[in-house]
Amino acid sequence: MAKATAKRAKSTENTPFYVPMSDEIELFEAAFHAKLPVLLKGPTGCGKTRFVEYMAWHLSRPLITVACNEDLSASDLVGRYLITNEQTVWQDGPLTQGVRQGAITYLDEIVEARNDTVVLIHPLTDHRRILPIDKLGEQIQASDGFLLVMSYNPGYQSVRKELKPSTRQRFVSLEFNFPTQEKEAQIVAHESDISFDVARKLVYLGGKIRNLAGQGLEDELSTRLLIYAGQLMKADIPPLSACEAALIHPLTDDRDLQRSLLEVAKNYFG
Amino acid sequence: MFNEDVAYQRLWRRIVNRYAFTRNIQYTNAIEKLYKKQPELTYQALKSFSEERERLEPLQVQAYFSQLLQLQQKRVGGVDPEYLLQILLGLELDHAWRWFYFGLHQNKQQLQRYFSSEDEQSQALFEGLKKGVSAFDVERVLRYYADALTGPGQPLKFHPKDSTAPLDHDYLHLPDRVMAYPDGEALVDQDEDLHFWLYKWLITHEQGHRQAGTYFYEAEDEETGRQALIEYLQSFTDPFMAEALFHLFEDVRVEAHLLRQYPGFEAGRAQLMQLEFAFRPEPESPRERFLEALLQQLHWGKSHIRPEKPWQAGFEKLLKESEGLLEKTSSVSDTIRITGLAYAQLETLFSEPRLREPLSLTLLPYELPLLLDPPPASPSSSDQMRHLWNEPAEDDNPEEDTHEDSTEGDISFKQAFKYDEWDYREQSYRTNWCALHEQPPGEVTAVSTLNAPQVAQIRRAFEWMAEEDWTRQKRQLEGDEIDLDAWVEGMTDLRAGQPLPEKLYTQQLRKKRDLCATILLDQSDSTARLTPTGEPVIGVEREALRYLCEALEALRDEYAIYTYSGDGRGQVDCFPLKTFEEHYGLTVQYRLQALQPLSQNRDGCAIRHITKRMEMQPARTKLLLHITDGKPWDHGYTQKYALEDTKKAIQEARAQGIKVFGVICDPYAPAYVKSTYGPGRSVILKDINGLSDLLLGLYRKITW
Ligand SMILES: Nc1ncnc2c1ncn2[C@@H]1O[C@H](COP(=O)(O)OP(=O)(O)OP(=O)(O)O)[C@@H](O)[C@H]1O
Ligand SMILES: [Mg+2]
Repeated sequence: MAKATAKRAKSTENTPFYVPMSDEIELFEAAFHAKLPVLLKGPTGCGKTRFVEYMAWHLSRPLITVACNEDLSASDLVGRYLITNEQTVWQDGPLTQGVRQGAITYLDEIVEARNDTVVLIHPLTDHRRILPIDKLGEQIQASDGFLLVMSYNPGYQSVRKELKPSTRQRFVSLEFNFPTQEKEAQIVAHESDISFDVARKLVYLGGKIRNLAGQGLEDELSTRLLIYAGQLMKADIPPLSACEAALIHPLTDDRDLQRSLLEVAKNYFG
Repeated sequence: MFNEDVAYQRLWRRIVNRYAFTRNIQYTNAIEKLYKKQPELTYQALKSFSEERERLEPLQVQAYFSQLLQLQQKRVGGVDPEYLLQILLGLELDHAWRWFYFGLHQNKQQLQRYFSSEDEQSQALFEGLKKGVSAFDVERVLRYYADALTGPGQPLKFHPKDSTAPLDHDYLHLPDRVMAYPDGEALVDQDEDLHFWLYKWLITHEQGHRQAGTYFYEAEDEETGRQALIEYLQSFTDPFMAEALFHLFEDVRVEAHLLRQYPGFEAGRAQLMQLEFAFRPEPESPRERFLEALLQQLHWGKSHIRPEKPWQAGFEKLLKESEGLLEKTSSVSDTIRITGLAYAQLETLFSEPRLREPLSLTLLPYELPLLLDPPPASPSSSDQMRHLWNEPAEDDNPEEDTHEDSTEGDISFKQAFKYDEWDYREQSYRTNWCALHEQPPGEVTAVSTLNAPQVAQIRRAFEWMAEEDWTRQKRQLEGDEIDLDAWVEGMTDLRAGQPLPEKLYTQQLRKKRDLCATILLDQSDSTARLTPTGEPVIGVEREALRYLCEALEALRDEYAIYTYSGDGRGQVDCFPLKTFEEHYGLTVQYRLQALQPLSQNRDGCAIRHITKRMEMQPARTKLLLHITDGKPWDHGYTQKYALEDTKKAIQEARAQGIKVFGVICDPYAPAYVKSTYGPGRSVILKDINGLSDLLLGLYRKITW
């Protein structure tokens, strides 16, 4: 059974690569020490997950990540009994593990989870910091290092998927957006292992594509897609094909729009 | 004396029967008029046309006679009807009109020749149009492209050259490719890409001027900057020469700026330069030679010609000076300085007279809005899209709305729903521009019977589709099957001394479709058109709507039906045949049965109204099905203006979360009408009698 792995030594070897955008590191650190739960708001692929990984390393805490989905039940989070050799054994779910170990516990895409699952975290978010486990008849007090972090993509605006204010207002919110062009180029170059020059071109192109968000394009172009394009180029795919496959086609099915974007790409890679 | 009245009559009747476009009295009259004036030509036209008839579409036929009539009215002699027909058969209708208007705007002499098959220019244009790209075809792509380059702040306004756009500084006018290279035989064989590339480059170039600060000469804003430039240029004794030089150097600076930013242009630009310089006219004077050499050197890095000996030193000096323009840090002030230098040089080196008119030292075949003396507006301006509505040219300028004054004080205007309208030329809304009234729909007291087996079939099909929406829900208190996961977990809990959980079943539950739809039908007079079976379009629509209602009833979707028509912006009428609250009972059927063609259709306004009506609907998915002939048409609401407004209204609806689909009931609707709705968001109905099937199929597909 996974037991608390308290302080881990901070190794410099596997420092997660993270380029800060503004004061989010300080804010997160402050929230951690004040034991305030954190909500990361931002479009897909802008670095939320990477940031949490970095913070876990930075604060020398274990990180437990739960990807939320519609079928996620309370038992999936808290735990359940299992049968082993005619015996029943309680198995902690990831949230319970996090609470016990004092881990940074990251619920990714919380809006995807069912409402009855979401309310479960409420008692963890106020000053009591407790997790009631009905089946055990227990209330566990969160260890010191425990921090609840959730992510939420507001751009997802479908009526069905919105975070209820009663949940939302329990968190310190950090807004994520796309980094500046210089920083984004640095990220793209590092992550896809291409030259800074090429990465910068990709980022400039990305900037132009983002100009069309809301006027033609429904989704924002993510840093992740720029990295994909870079990785394809690194694998010797011709730049324009890489742009089409990683930047254009994932964003739109509109033929005219595809053509327009390809024309912009040609300005840089033609 | 020509005397074949009988033959003429017979031919004419055959054609009329064949195409059933008699509804368009104007055309019948047009032919008659033509016949009175030029019986021989008319007869010949009818005859040649009837021989080719199986290959012609009704719209082409109409175009054909309309063109002949226009030529007759302009007293153009020597017209070869066969040739005209060939053009129509060989080109997209759109292009055929382009070819036609280009001919009409030739000078007198050429005009007489153009429409005979011997004219080389008209043939070259024909060939070019067969292969080329017109700005109009690629406008949407270019617009997205321009928006991507500039960002949301300040859209770059541009127009295909012969659109109705005002010729002012705000607009970049895209040339027609063929007109750009009148003798460009070589271009015709180039791949299509180059033509497109040219448009793209023009837009990028203009954007470059903005970015590189051309219009910000000693000023914070464009307006003042432009004024300052004009004043500077006018301070010269020969302002035209000063301006030509300014454009030359500024373009060099801007293009360097662009190539730094967009290295991808390098190859295409090199190709274009090659073409450009292949076609340069021979310079006629030493000064022209000097300028031409300068132009080539600066843009191309080489030149066919060199200035004559005595002027070479001055030439080299200028080239050297202008190197600074290629620097990243250069600004429009540097261009101004070099312009002054060059001007002074020319003045001392040559004693040629000052220029009488603007001189172009720009390479690209477009007019960067000239700073001095903008060229007069082209006469062809508003005719360009006329053919879309098969109307002979008349004064119908959206700008001058006949209802302009009368409506404001009108009581009906005050009690109405008011809606903005989009003016694409201004890229802005005209606020509260339209007044819409909801009117009680007409009713009759009997309703024709639908085909019973067909109704039954539709109901079955759609009920089955509704059933598909059942899903199995887990962890339910009761249900028809045991939830194994929950059960295993429960039994384990039990062993561990826990009570057995209650939710151990799965159950089939109907997942709510949670969808509402509005059907919006254009009830304008174009629906009076007869279909091949002799029934008016509106009759087909009436019936199709009733079948659709049967399907919607089976699905139990929430839906409403509205129709619209109207007469000017102060009188847009909208008829709720069935609101969301009303049931599909006899009353609704009576209203459907009573549908008759009314008058005009101002589509944008009607769509905005439906958007408002759907706002309150709680359903998660909202759908607007717009049934139209794709020709928004009202007073001061025609052509591109109307299409652009409609497009905008659809975008607004989308922004409200409404999915808009267009069913375009005109088999000849040009492809760009589809673009009003966006890709995959419209269907062009090829056969009006297939409307019912199409609606059913479409509805099923998009709400699955
Ligand atoms: N600031 C950053 N520093 C370093 N890498 C970054 C940064 N931002 C984004 N990235 C890179 O972008 C990729 C996508 O980011 P990440 O997976 O963290 O996005 P996300 O916001 O969690 O997206 P989603 O909402 O889809 O989960 C990361 O794998 C990383 O390579
Ligand atoms: Mg220029």
